Amino acid sequence: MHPLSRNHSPGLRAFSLLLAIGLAFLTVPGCRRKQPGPSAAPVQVTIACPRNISASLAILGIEKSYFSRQGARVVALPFETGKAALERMLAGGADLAVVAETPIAKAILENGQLKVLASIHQSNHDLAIVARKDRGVRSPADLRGKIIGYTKGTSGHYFLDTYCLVNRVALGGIGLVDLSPLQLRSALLDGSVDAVSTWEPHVAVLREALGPQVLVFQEESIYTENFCVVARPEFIRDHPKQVKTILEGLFSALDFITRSPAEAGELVAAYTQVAPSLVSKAFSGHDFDVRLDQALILSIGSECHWFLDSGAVPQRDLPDVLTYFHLEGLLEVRPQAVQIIRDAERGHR
Amino acid sequence: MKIRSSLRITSTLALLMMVGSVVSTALAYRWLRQATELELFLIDLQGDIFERSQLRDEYLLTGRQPSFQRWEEKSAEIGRHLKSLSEVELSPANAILLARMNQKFKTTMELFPRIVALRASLSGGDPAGTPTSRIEQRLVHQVLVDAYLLSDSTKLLLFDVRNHTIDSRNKLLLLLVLSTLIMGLVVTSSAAYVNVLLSRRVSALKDGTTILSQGAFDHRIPASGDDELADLAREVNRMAEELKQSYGRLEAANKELEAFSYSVSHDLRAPLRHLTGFVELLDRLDSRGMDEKARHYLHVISGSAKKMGCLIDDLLSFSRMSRGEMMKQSVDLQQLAHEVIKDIAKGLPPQRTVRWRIGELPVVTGDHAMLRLVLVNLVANAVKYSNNVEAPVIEVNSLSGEKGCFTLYVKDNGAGFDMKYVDKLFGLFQRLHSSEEYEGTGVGLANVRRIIGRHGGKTWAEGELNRGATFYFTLPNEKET
Repeated sequence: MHPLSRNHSPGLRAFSLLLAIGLAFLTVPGCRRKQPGPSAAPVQVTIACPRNISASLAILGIEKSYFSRQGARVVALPFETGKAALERMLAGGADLAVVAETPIAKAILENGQLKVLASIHQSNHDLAIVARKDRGVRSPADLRGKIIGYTKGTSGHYFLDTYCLVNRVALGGIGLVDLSPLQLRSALLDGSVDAVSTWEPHVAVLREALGPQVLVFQEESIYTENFCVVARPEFIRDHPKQVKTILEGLFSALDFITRSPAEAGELVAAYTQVAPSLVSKAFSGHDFDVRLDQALILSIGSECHWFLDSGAVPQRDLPDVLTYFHLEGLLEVRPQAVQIIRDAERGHR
Repeated sequence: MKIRSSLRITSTLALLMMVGSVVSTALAYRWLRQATELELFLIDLQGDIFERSQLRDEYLLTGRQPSFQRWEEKSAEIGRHLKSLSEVELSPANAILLARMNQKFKTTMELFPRIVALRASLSGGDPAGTPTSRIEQRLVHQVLVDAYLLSDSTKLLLFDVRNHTIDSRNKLLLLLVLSTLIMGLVVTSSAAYVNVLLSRRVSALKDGTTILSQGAFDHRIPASGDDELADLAREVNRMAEELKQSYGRLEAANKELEAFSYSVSHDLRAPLRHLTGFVELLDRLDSRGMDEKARHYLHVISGSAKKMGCLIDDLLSFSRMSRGEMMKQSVDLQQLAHEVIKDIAKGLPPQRTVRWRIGELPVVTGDHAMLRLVLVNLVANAVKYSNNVEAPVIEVNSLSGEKGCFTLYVKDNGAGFDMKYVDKLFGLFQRLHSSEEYEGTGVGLANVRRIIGRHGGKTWAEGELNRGATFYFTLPNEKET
C-alpha cells in the first residue's frame, strides 16, 4: 500500500489513536507539568564583595550580570576588605562572600559556617610592604624597631609575618598597628607609621603618592595569595541552581577578562573606585582562574596552623580543610578545574 | 555539452577533489601529529615534575646533598622543557597556564636552594631568635604550594592538549568521511548523468535505425543537444534523407524498367503470334512442296517461337509479381502445401513415385495466390530435379528458432548443385543445368525471391551436387512482431 494512501493499515490506525489520546492527555490542564507562575518572586542572591582587584572575576560576574542568568536578583555589598565581606556573610548578611584564604582559615578555626565554592585568583605580586625611605628604611633589616601598619587577620597580615620570618626580622621588635586598608594609606602618607603591609591597588596608590620616598618590599617566591568565593552551606543546599549559575558566571567573567582586558579593567576600576590605569597595571601580575586545588587546601591548612601558633584563636585540633570545600558544584560545571587529591569513595579522583 | 567534455569535467572535478582531500588530510594529519607530539612532551614533563618532587622529599627527609644535586639536574631538565614549550603556539588560555608554570618553576628555583642554604648555614636559631625550623616550615609550605600549582597547571595543559588531539582525530575522521562522501556523490551523479544521457541517446539511435532499416525512410531520430550522440543521430537522419531520395529515384527507375519490360513483352507477343500462326499455316498448306531440310527448318522456327512465347509469358508473370497489388490474408501453409503437392502429383507419370514428407507448417499472413506460387515453384523444382533419382524424397517443413518470423524449407534428394554457384540460383533466367537436361526458363526461383521479398522475408539455399538441395524462405510472424 502506498504510504500516503487513505486506506491506512490497522497498525497505523492504532498509532494515530494513541497519538490523539496522548495529545488530549497533554492538553488537560491537570496533566501539565507545573510551570512557575509569573508572580513567583525571583531568588535574591546577596554577594559581599570587597573593592579589591583580586576579586575581579566576581566583580565582573556582578557588573556583567552573569550571575543573574537564571533570573536571580543579585545584590552586591561592597566592602573594603574580604575579611569584612566574610564577616558579613558569616553574620547572615550575605549568601556569598569573596575573600582571601587567610580570613577563611581563621573562620574555619572559629567553626564558621562556610563552604569554599572556588578560588578565583592567585597572585605572588599582590602583597607588599611599602616603606618610607625618609624613615631610614633601606633594607628588610631596617624594619626592626619601626612602626608598621597592617590589617589584622588578612592576607596582608600573613604576608607581613612570612616576610619578616624569612628575612629574620622578629615581629616582637616591631610596633604593629591594626588599621583598615584606607587608613593604612593615609597613615603612611601622613607619617604616623613607617611602613605598611598592604595590597593592590593601595600599593600602586602609595607608590605614586610617595614617589622617590617609597621603598616597596615584595618577594614573590614566599607567598601565594588565593582569593575565593565562599557561600553559606544553607544557600548551597537551598539554591543549587544558583550556585551553578554563579560558577558558570565566574567562567564567563574569566573568558571576558581574557578577551577584553581593557573593558574588564574599566568595570573593575569603577567598582573598586581606583583609576583604570592602576587597575590595568595591576592586572599584569594577576593570575585569574576558577578552580579548586590542593595548593589552596595546603595554604588554608598552613594558615590555620599559623593562627593557632600565634594565639589568635584558642587552641584546638587542626580541622580537615577539605570538609569546608563544596566540590560538587565545580565538578558539575568544569570537572577538570577540580585538582584535589581525595578518596575514591567520594566519586572523585 | 559534449559527452567527452562532460566526462573530462567530471574526471577533473573528481581529481581536484581527490587532490583537495589528500592535501587537507595531510594537513589534518600534520596537525594531529603535532598535537600528539605535544601531548607526549607534556607527559614527559609531568614525569619529570613528579620525579623532582620525589627528590625534593628525599632531600627534606634525609638532608643528603646528592639528592639536592639530582633535584637541581632534574630542575634544569624541566627548565629546558618549559623553554621548548614557550616556542609552541598555544591558545590564550594555555598561554596563561604556561605563564603560571614558568612562574611556579621560577619561585621554586629561588626557594628550594634557600632552604638548602638555610639548613647548611644555621642550626638551632639565628641572632634574631627566630627558630630556623619555623622559617624552613614556611618556605617548605610555599615550595609545596608551588609544586602543586606547577603540577596542576601541567595537568590542565595536558588535559587541553589531549582534548585537542581527540578533537583533531575526530575532525580528521569527519574530513575523510565527508570528502569520500562528496567525491562519491560527484562521481556517482556524473556517472548517472552520463549513463542516462548515453542510454537515452543510444536507445533512440537503436530504435531509429531499426525503423529506418525496415524501410520507413521518413522516420527521423530525435537529435536535440550538442553531444556526440546527437551529432551521430543528425548524421543518420541525413543519411536516411539521402537514402529516401535514392530509394525514390531507384523505385521510379525500377517502375519505368518494369513498365518497359511489360510493354516490350506484351508487344512482342502479337508479332510472335503472327509468326507462329503463319509457320503453322505454311506447314499445313505447303509442306508437301518442301523438301525434308525445309520442313526441318520450319519445325525449328516453330519450336523457337513457342519457346520464346514461354519466355515472354514467364517474363510477364515475373513482372506481374513485382507490380501486382498484394491481398494480405491469413494463409494456412499446411493446407496450401497439401493442395500444391496433390496438384503436382496428379501431373506425374504413373510409374514415378515420390515420397512426400510434410511437416507441421504455420498459418501466416500473406497473399494466398503468391504464396501458392512460391510453393508450386519450389515443389515443382524439387520434383523436376529429382527426376533421375530412383527413390525421390521431398520434404516440406518448418524450422523453429528465429524470433519474429517463420522459417520454412523444401528439401529434395535430387541433382543438387554446387554451392559455389549459389548466388546465381535466384537470378532471373539463371540456370545451373542445361535446358536439355532439365527444362525451364529460370524464372521460377526469381519469382520466389520476389514474392518472399515483398512479404518481408528472405530466401536462401543449400545444396550439394547429386546429393539434393534445400530451399529456405522466411515469412514474418505477425503475432510476434
